[in-house]
Parts: sequence; structure tokens; C-alpha cells
Amino acid sequence: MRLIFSLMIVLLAFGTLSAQNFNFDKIYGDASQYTVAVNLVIEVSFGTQTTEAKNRGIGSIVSDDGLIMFDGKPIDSEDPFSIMSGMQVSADPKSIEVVMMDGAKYPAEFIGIDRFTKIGFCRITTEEKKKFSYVRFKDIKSFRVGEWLALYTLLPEYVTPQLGADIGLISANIVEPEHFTLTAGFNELEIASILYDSMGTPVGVLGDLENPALSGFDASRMMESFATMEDFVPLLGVIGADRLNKLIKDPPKRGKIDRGWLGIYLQALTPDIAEFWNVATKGGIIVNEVVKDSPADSAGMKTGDIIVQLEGKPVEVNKEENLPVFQKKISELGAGASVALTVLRRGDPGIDTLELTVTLAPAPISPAEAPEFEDTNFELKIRDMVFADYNIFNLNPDFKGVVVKEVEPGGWAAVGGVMPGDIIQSIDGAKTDSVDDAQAALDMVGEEQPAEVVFFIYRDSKTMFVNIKTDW
Amino acid sequence: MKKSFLVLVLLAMACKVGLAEVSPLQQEIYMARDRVLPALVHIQPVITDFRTGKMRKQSVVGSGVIFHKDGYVVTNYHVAGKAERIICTMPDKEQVKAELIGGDPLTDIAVIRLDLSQYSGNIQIVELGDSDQLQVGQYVLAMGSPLALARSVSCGVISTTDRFFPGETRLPSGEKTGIYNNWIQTDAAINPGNSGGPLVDLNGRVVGINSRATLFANNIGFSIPINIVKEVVKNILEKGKVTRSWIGVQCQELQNLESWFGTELNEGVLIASLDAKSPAEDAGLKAGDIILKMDGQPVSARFAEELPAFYKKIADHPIGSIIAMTVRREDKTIYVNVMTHELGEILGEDLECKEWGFTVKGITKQMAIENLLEDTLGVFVSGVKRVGAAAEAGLLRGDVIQGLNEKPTLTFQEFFDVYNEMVESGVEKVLLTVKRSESTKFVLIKVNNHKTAEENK
Repeated sequence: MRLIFSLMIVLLAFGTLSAQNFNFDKIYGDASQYTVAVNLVIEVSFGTQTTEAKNRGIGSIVSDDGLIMFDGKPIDSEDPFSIMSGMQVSADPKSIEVVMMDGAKYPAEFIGIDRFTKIGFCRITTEEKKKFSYVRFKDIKSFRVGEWLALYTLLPEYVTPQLGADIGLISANIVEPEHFTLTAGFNELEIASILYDSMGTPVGVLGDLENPALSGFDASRMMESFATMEDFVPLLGVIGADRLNKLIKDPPKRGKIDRGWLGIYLQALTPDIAEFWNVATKGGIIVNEVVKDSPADSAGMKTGDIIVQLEGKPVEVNKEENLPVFQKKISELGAGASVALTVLRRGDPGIDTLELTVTLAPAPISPAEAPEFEDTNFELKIRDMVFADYNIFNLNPDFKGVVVKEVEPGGWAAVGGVMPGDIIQSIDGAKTDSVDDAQAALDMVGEEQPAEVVFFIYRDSKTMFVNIKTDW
Repeated sequence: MKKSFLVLVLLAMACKVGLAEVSPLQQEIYMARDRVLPALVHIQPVITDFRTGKMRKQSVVGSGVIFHKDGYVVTNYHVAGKAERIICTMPDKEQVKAELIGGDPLTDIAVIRLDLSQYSGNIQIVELGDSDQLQVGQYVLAMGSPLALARSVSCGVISTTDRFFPGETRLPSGEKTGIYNNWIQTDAAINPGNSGGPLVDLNGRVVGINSRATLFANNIGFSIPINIVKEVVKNILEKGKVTRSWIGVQCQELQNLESWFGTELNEGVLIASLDAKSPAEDAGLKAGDIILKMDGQPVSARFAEELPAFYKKIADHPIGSIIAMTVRREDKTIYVNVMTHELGEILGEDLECKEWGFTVKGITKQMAIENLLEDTLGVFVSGVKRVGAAAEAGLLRGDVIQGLNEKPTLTFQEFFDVYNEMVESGVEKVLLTVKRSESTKFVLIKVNNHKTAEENK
């Protein structure tokens, strides 16, 4: 649906824009050296059904040893569209194949995906001691509105040549909710294509501005404040060379969490509540709850505190929809960062102003990032518990187990009565505090091959024993 | 025209012939009918519902049967348990008022009393049978007001005597039910409106109270066994309610688990789960423990059908007394004394906060357990009006209000008093301190804004 819509825009765009003074022959010559097609095989699941899907997208070689950056959206497990449709995308591609413009094919190994730009990284794995041509980005400090940019995007597989040009212009330099150079004339299918200035110099790649209303999007929040259609129209623009070069130098690794985390539940300080509490500020963050032993807890933050400044700059969050702007800032400051917060504490009488310094912790991993294990005998997939599980199920921190992610219908586990969402606390008497424990327990069961295995599970806030009949 | 007249006459003759030679079965059905139909009551209560964020009155229809000469009628809790007022239609089609005497959601039984001062007819009472003697295949009649069609009789057999429903069965008002009994299943037609009506054997004795039908199915109806009803009714007549003991265990059938736990067949009851801060937890019981004996008596639940009777055994224990348990834990036998507590009310009192656009309930111990609340402090938001000051402020059903304008309201009474005070003094802004999941939320309700908006309409 989104694809068809975007395709229509492609056709319109090609028809309406006039060419500028770009040397397209030169740009094509350069682009075809380091532009590649990245074929991903990904796992997509709807409820309990999992299927494999292929995805072909554009990528660019960014170092001579075959480091490649590509559009990571297809493997973004936090994509709001997927979440809305109930689709779950596995964060790891099953396999990656890189196809050069001359037709050469190489396998590649997945490295990771940048949470903010959604740019993915992989590296070609080849026996040949080959030096690859690669793109070098030039850092342009500022773009002028009206300046033209060109790109070569990947065309469908059945056409030759594989690259097609497009042009667009800088349409605005956005400052809120974050600095972003907006373009006009490009379309969503061209995301991750290299942008060239009129001299034919690579200056960045096409990306999109993350809508704060959709970042950290989860289904429950959607029910509370329904996103409007406007929220889903992408704003395309330049991901600049400074950012790309940083990523290329230190590609984000899967499983390495560097997002910053305060450890508070939060609420926007609306004008109404500000007035009620007699707080003279344009907005702020009400601290609803402080997670025990979190950075906020260590810094002495308390329920009812109001965060009004972050790193000396006012936090002007005055409606719930803008909360993600604050959350994203904390996230981007990164784990380990020392952050200055100005906090108002309502007392009796009057209001105290506190200056707190908080050292951010790594953010808890999401369920999609959690280590998982698939057992082929029982035909079920389990994963480690994550911070979010404790909130959703309202569990004590000392509660332990592994979450059932998938159960193959008709398999031993399914017939025995195990359901997705169950938390397995022990298998055959052995405690399963992590997938490692569970794997060990299942391996043991696999060796002994008993006729029945008993799982102790937690479901609907109660525990129960499940007897699973085996058939080795 | 002529032809149809002829057919009618023939039919009439056939009937006459039929009457003259009644089969023994037909005679029994007539006899059972004559013993119960004159005691059958069509019940029309007005019940209150707070789940939409305001107090809503609702007229419902059910059935009941007179079992006591003073005009006591037994029916379902989901028919009359929340009744504000009740109008009954007697078998002779005269209408009389009735009052609620008491109800028990856990068994879905309520007792009402007819106001016989208004009634000139004679009342007949039914005889209650023995549901333990029922047999599968035995003929039964169901009587009542299916779809409000009063004085309807249907006939069938008992399909099974001990139907068990895994998972939770809930009444429309939200309480769990059917914990202490299995159900009689019958193929005698039971439809909405039959609720509370009698299931009758061919001796004309009431053997069950019809209470459930199955959506999208035919000939699958369920009755509460009369032996359970008799006890509940006795308690309601004596105390106005049923009191029970509680220790906070959920048990599970041992079938297929015997070899793993190393128990004999038909030995012991398996504890699957314990309520937090329950007497059972305090006594040190654990999930996986197998109760072999209670007060010296062996207990067992190999099949799920045996669980309701076990729960009833605990519930029937005197409140505040010790249950001496012999428990098997792994390969040891241990002895555990569990002090029973009163189960208490399932749901708390209701209050409509009309000016603010939501309804609240007092929080009972059982509500706290069910909703995973840490304690019973505060009031539970049972409904938020779709359009109203509270909805606009973002209050949600399930929130627990613990303060009004930062003044703690930790009991229903405190909340009730502060609410009334604030409404009387015409407070325009109210800051609710709300517990939602693990977190505290501040919800600001603007009372006046909303009022003018509504008045403008």
C-alpha cells in the first residue's frame, strides 16, 4: 500500500522536475562503482505464524574492506507501521547478499542498525583479497534553501541499467523538534540513496525525520492518543556527512546498547497542572515514578519532581505528545553521559530548585533485541525477559523466567498447552531464569528423552504446571 | 378454505384421542408441571450498572421459583443480585413487588421476597430435590421466561451432571462465579430469560437453577445443582449473605502429572499458584506442593471436575480457624497449619462522581489480588464517561485514585466525604493522584469547563 503510493509519487516526480546543471555522466560513473543492491532474507511473524520474506534495497560501499550501509527500515522491529499491523520483524536478517552493479554477488554479514537514522551496516565476507571502491562523504556545514541535490536510486531488478537519477532541492532547515535539512522532490523509495551536490560531490544520504509522535511508538499509546494521518507522511531530508562518517567509523553493533536511560516514568507538565501547582514554566517533565536503583534514583529524584532544564536548556514539554522529544534527547546523549538536570521539587512551603547530575545508564533492551532460543523438538521459540515485561505483567524484580515468543501449532509444546506470552519458570524441575538455562534444560531433556516433560509456567498472573507429551 | 377447516377438525380429534390414552411418561410430565408451574415467577428487576462511567439503570428479565410459604423466591444473582426494585409476575399473571434479601455472586444465586400483602391469590411452593442423585439421560423440564416469554416449559434430558469450565467464568457485572460447583448440563431449551428458573425432575422436584446458555449453540444449557443452592439460600436467609473462608490457593488437576510428582493416582491436590500475601503464602505453602490431607481427611483432585468441591471444602471451614494440612513437597512429607481468613466481599461499593464524569468502587481484598494492586488503598475507577471532564483529563478505567487535590483518600469513605465536600463547595479544578500500573499519574479535572460545554449543547 505504502509502496504503491510511493511508486505513484516516483512517476509524478520524474515527470515534473526540470534538470539542472548536474554532470550526470560523472555521477553515474561514480555511483555505479560503490552503489549496490542489498538482498535481505528476513523473518516476519504475524501472531504465531512466521514466514521468511525477501527484501531488495539500495546500499553503498563505505570502506575498501567492504563495509556497506543500507536502508535498515525493513529490519526495524520498532517500525510503527509494523507494530500497528501486528507484524513482528526479527531484528536479525537471516542472510544478506550484496549485488554489485557489474553483477558480482557477495555474501555479507550483518553488523547492526543505527536506532536513530535506521541505517543498517553489513560487511562483505569474501575469500578474495579485494579492495572495493567506496564512497567518501564531504561534510557540508549548512545547506541553503533552494540548493539542488541529485541522487541515483536503485531501479527494479528486471530493468537495465539498475540505477536511475532523480533531483530535488533543499526546502527548509528545520530546527524543532531537532535540526534537520528538509528536501523536496525526492520520495520514500529513494531513502538511503547517496545525495550529490551540483559539483557531483557526495554530501549525505536521503533519510527521514523521525516524528516524535511516533518514536517509541507502542500499541497502547496509540489507543490513548490516536496518531493522525499527518504523522505518517514522511519528511525526507539529508542525513549529513558528519553523522555518516561517525557511524562508518564505529558501526552500531547489534546487542550493544548505547542509548541513554534515566529510569523514570514521566508525564508532561501541561499548562493546567503548572497553573494548579503554581509553577512558572512553559513546560516540563513530571516524574511519575523513579525506577529503583536507576540513574534517576541514584541522583535522588523523587515522584512529583518536575524536570525543567536539560543541559542548561529549558525542557518545554507541555503536552503528552511531545514527551518523546525529551525521551529521544536522553536516548541520544548515550549511556555513560553525565547530564545536568534542573528539577523543581514542590515542598511545603514553596518550591525548591535542585541541580542534579545524572550519569545515564544503558537503556533496557526491547523484547525484539532480547536473546532468544528456538527448540526444534518442542517447536517453540523463547526469549529472555526484558524490563518492559516487568512493567506489562506488573512483576516483582526478583521474578525470573523466559517468555514464549512463538509456538508452532501442532508441535509438542502447542499440543501440551503452552501459549505465546507464557513465561516458563522451570523445565523438568530445572529453573529457567534465562534462555541459556532453558537451552541447557531442553538439551538435558533431549538426551534423556522422557515420555513426558513438565513446564512450570506463569500465565494471567497465576502459575501452573503444563504436562507435555513427547514423541522422540 | 373448506380443506383447511377439515384439517383443523381432524387435529382437534387427534388431540382428544391423545388425551384419552396418555403414556406414563406424559403423565409424569403433567404431574411435574402441576407441582412447579404454580410456583414459577417471572421477575423484572431494575438493576444498576456503573461500568460506563455513570450510574445506569437497566430493566432485565429473569425467572424464579417460590420455595417458602412466606414468599421467598430463589433466582440468579445476575438477575436480581443488584436490583434496586423488583416487579414479579405470578403464575396467575397478577403482578406483585418484591425486595432483594441477599445474593451470592460466587454461586450466582439470589433470594428475593414477594410482597404478599398485595396478593390475593394462593401461593404454592416447590419441593427441592437432591442433585447428587441425578443421572445422565434422566428426563428434566426447564421452566421460566425465555426471551421474556413467561411461563414457558421445555423438556429434555440431563446431558452431564458435572460439567467443569476451565478458565474463569464471570457474571455480566464482572464477578467470578461457579468456583464451588460443577454444572448440570441439559438439552432442555434454556435461553436468556430462563435465568433463575427451575430445572425440574419428573417427580416435580427442583434439581437445579437454570443460569447459563451457550452462544451460537443449541440445546446446551447449564444449571446450578440444587444442593449447592440449598446451602446458599440457607445462609442468605440466616445472615443475608454467604460468608466463606479463604486461604488463597489455586489448584490444578494432577492427571498426567502423577509420575512427575511421584504420587499415586487419586492422591492429593496440587497447588499451582498462590495469591500474594495470602494465608497460604504466610503459612509457607508453595506452588508444586501437594496437599494429601486436610484435618486428617485425605483429599484428592485427579481431574479438574474435582476441584470445585475441594475449594468448597476450604470455603466451608470456619473463618479464622486452622486447617491442618499434610503436604508432600518433593519427596518429603511436611505438616502445615493454615489459618483461614474471611473471603470478604468480592466487589466494593459503587459511587457515581456525576459532576466529574466517572464512577468508582471501593477496593476489596479480592479486587486487589485480581487487579495486581499492592494493597486496597484508594478507590478503583470502574468507568469513565466517554465524553466528560474525566475523559478529557485522561482518566482511565482501572486507575486507582489515592488523592484529591493532594489530600489522601485511601478509603471509599474518605473519598466519598472529600468528593461530596468538593462538589458542595463548587471546586472548579481537581487534581487526582492516580496509581496506574506501577506509576503515579497526576490527572487534572476541570469541572466547570465541562459543565458549560455540556450546557452549551
